Amino acid sequence: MENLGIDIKLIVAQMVNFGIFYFVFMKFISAPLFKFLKKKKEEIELRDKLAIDLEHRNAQLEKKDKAMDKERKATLIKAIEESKKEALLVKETMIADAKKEADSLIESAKAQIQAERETMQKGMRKQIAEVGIMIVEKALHDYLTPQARKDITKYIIEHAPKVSL
Amino acid sequence: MIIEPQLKADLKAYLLERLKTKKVAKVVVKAPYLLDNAEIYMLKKRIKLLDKATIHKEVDISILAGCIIQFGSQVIDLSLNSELQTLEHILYETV
Repeated sequence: MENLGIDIKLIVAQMVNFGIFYFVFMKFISAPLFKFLKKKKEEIELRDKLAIDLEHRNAQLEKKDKAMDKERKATLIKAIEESKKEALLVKETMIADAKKEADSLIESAKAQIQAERETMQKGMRKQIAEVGIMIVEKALHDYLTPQARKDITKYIIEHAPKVSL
Repeated sequence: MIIEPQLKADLKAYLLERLKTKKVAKVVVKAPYLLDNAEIYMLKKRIKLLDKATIHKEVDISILAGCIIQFGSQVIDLSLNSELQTLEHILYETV
């Protein structure tokens, strides 16, 4: 064996060394390393899972947000429509009220004008009658002679109604 | 209501005195000139009150013709002026 260059002792020593190395490796390096790798793998899996879950949740939230947005838009459109309708109604009511008030004012003004016209006509009639009679009185005052006054007085007394007080 | 005896007696005496003395009514006849007896007579025929009353004649130149008879607060207007007033009223109502 020695001629072949094989040293039994050395081989045995190397085998023992290898055994010790294997033991130490298995005991203190391989197990923690596997454990570490396993842990890392689990973390990565968990991260992936969480990422997927998060993505899924994001998608759900986005979907929900879109639905809410749609609903909000629909509500807003509905509210705008209702506001428009309400505004139109208010506008119509206001126009009707204004028209009514204007009609009332016109009627009132017409009545006032008519009343003023009637008052003016009455005043004119009164003045015409007064002036007419004043002229007649003046004329009679100048025209009637004492004899004429006496004759008229006599005529009036003769034709006066009988009075019994 | 209680009336004082003195006041009551005074009132009674006044009323009795008033009943005893007959008052003759005083009538004022206004005209543009002094009415003569014939005209007064004609007036008396028309207005009975004048028979029993004292007639007081007055001249009022504002009267155009006719006369106005006043008895207390009562007035009988037989003047031309009142006719003209009536005419004025008719004119006012009809023009």
